[in-house]
Amino acid sequence: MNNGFFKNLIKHKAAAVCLVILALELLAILLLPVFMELDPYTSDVLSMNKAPSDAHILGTDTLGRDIFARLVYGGRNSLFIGVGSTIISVLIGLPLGLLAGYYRGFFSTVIMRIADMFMSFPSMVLILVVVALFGSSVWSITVIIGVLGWPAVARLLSANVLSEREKEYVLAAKTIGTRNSVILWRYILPNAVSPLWMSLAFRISQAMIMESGLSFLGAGVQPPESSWGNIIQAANNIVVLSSRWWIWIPAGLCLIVTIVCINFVGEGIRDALDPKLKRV
Amino acid sequence: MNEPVISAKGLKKHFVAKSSLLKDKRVYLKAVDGVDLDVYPGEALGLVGESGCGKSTLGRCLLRLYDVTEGTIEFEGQQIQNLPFKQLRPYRQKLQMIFQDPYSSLNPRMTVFQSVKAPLDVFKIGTEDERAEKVRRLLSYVGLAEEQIHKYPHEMSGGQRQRAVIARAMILQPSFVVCDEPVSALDASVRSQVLNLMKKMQQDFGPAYLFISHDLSVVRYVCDRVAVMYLGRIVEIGSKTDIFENAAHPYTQALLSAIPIPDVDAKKDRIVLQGDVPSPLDPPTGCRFHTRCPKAQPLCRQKEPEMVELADGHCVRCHFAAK
Repeated sequence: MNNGFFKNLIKHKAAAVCLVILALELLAILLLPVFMELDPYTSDVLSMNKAPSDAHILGTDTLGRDIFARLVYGGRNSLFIGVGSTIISVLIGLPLGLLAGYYRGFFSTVIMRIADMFMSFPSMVLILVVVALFGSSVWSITVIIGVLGWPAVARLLSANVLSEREKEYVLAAKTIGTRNSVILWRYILPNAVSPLWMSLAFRISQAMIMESGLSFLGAGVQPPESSWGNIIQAANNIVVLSSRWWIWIPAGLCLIVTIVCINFVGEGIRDALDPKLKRV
Repeated sequence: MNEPVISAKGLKKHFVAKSSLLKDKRVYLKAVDGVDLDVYPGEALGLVGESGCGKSTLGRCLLRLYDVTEGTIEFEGQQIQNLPFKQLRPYRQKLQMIFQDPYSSLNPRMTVFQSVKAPLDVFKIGTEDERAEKVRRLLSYVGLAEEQIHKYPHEMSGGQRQRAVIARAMILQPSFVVCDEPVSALDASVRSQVLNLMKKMQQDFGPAYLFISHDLSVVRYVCDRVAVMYLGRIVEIGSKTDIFENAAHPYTQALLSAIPIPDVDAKKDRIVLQGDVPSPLDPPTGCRFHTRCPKAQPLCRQKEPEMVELADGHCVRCHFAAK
């Protein structure tokens, strides 16, 4: 299944382009600080709110910090929150969803009702409470968004498992004496997981948007640390919004481009993993 | 005949159709309701009946794919109806199934080669190379060329898939195979090839078949004995000639009269049954067939007929069969 996976991914044109953009972005975020002297923290009181110039490629913010440097470091935090929280959601949601779908009955009812409880809670409010209690670091935001995301993963997966477990190939696997654990991992999971790829990509972008929202409310990543969200927060001010575009437009663009790209790549992965689409 | 390879006594499978905490408020769907059946080594026993009469459920119960509600299943001298997963496992090698729809019975994410090799992997038979070799040999035996064996199910034709499914069922050299309408999903041209393959395999490997079908001409072609099922019970069982030439049960006679004859001028007395099969949720009292039977008498409504042996091995469940 693995050979040819990449080839199939590339065949999805939009996904291929987006993959390149994401790769470049990731390289920039990870490597630029190594090669360039970027200082996202020091504020230069003499040059606040400066438009882009040779000294500061993207200008400076209201406190005189280099926007470009903050953008690069902020990207690290934003992506970390997106990817990290999704990994946490999957680590909790995948096994629970798989088991709840396969073993029906009391166990699955309990899991699904807990999932309902989680989902019926307005997550923004819960996050604000947790942030107020435990402080808002990159880690705490990642963990809370991740933990709140598991029901969506579990629900989607268990719905797919529920339909797969009734198919005859599962019965066929039982007739040859396959263990339940093997049936789950080798037979059901690979067939049930493909719609999840789209949703994973969607979760990454959702988490990034969530972080931006939090930052905009002032409860996200706290300065002097930067994130794309808290850079945009500067646009909370009408003067910045109307006349200092260089402060918030680049971070906004980064966010939008990244989110669109992640969604396309998710779609590409899903298509590439589906053997039925191989010949197309 | 010698000892049966698998033998069911009073087998019942009731599905819960409506659950309730109160025991007497529960509604059960009696899919299989008291079946006695012996299958002898190396024979092909046909199981025919309308859809919904419990044929497939019976087949699946015999393989312990469903837990049986009541009754015993004896396989090679051992009662298997209550064995837990672990103790049942060795028997799984000997009990296999060929499914109706070869497409859905193959894992879409495994190549045919992997699917056929899976049973060997499960029971850890031989080394990796030996397994691969065995799979290759069997796949070429069933008529899949070397270049086709690494394809995915969706890349193959229905006939090829069914050959793969047959290979998967046969690779462990089982002694009893349930064939659940193995050819009804195939078109006519492929059908006879697959049937011939199954016959040939039976000669070469010697498994007993329980051949479930609603197509009487297919059953006539493949099977040695035939059992007729109606509403969860076997109503008549006998050798192929007993059933096709001397059918004693009115239901069997009606089924036989429905076989199309490839001759436009042929006149035949077709027995057309009135109404539908009664619901297995609430089967009729007395003889289950009395609601549709053209020969029904008042007695049929009151008393359930016993299985009576008309001739050697030819049994029928009807009050008036002997007359």
